[in-house]
Amino acid sequence: MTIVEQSVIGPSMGQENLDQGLLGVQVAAGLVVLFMLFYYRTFGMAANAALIMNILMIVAVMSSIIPATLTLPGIVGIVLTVGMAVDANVLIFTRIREELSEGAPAQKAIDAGYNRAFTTIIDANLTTFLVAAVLYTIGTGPVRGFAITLMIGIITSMFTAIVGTRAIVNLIYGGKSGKTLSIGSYRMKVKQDGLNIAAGK
Amino acid sequence: MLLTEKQIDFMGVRKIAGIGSIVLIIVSIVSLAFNSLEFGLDFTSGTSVRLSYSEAVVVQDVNQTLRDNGYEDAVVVTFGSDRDIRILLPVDETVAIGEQAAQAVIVGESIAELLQSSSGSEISLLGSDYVSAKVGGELVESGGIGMLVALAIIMVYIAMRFQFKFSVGAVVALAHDLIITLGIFSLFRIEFNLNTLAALLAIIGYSLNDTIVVSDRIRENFRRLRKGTPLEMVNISLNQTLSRTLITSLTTLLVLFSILFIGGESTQGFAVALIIGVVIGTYSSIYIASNVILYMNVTREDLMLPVKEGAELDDIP
Repeated sequence: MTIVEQSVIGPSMGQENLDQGLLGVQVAAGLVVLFMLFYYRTFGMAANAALIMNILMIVAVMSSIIPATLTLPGIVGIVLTVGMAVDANVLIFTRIREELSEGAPAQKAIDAGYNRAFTTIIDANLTTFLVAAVLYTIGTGPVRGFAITLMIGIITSMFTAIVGTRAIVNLIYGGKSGKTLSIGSYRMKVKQDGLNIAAGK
Repeated sequence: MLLTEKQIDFMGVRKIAGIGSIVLIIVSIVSLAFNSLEFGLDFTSGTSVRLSYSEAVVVQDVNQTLRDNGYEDAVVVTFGSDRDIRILLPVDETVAIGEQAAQAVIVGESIAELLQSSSGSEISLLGSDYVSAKVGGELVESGGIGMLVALAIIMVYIAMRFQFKFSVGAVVALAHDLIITLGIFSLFRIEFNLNTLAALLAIIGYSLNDTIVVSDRIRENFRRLRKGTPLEMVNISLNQTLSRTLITSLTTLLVLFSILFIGGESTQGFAVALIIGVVIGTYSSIYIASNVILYMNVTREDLMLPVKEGAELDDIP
């Protein structure tokens, strides 16, 4: 084998393009954070804190353990896991709201919300993780980059979205007994015959 | 009736939704067969032209000059120093296999002339070659096999955690989303490059996530509720998950639209691809997977936990 040509190639996305792309992502992240805060109040704040923790953990893992080059598909993998982390929290919080609207006291609602959303989150994340593992084994280049960030991201986002937010929520509401939670508005269900069966109570 | 509360009868229009989806899939497949995809430079072979300037060169200006003169798909990068650039151009498909190298030389000379006429700096042509695709057949092939293996593993996992009918539902929903997204790419001649490949991979994750969340509710309701037909169960589940479905889809779209409008040219294709995927994915999470399991006649027995639930049932008069 002989080396035909060897040279350093500049980025095809100019610095200007890159800056603009980053600005777009930053504005997008800001909007999501604001939405969560507005829609889920204190719980939204917990989710946002977990989200920041999640991104820090992904970057930490990627920069230390695995010497990875960040390609666009890799960044997409991170964005997807951030989305899944937000989704996990949305799942938990809508469950807690459901419990509250059925008249459950605050602590019980938090407990039931986390417990019930847990299986959903595990199933959804494990399925996606399996796909990422297959893509990593069989794929090449950019597909592999996507798969590895997705696998790291799924592990960290499940941890922060479930354990992280739970810790913050317990810090705020732990040991307090009450009927209300700062989790945004929900409608109290009017108890009717048949509906209680439908709600499984 | 269980549907006493304000409930949307999603499954009431399941036949129409099913027919609509089948039509869309057929249109997509026909378009993909006859129109193919507009593959970007990442996937096609091209001509590489290397030029050396006498002073530092601004890549954006070169790009602009090329675009203004009919080379819309050119990719310009610097290499070695800020005075040397490499231009990648898609290869003319009509050129015969043996003559691509000769064609590359002709293209190189005309590009050098064009840029010289619009630049004050002295330009010399270092060389022009025919290059094969960055990610070629290998990726497409391994990607295809990878998808099949991935689908098989998903089916086994869902069959274990849920039931085989749910496996079929999830895989049909996934295929539905991917085929229609690719179909839209082909119909509207949107360029398929590495960005869009990344978007497509993200759509797989998004679509699966959505389907599992809905399936999970259906499983739970089948186990918890004593009354109601399978159709009612599915409707209740869809209504219970509706607020989550909408919040997740809307926040995702919020992110994608801000990337589309603020993120600039380099991320546009990606954002458009994902917006299409998310819209289709949201629709399919409501109508496709649940529709499929209803067609397969899902029953409560399919999802019963054998021992525990059976004992409970006996206690109820």
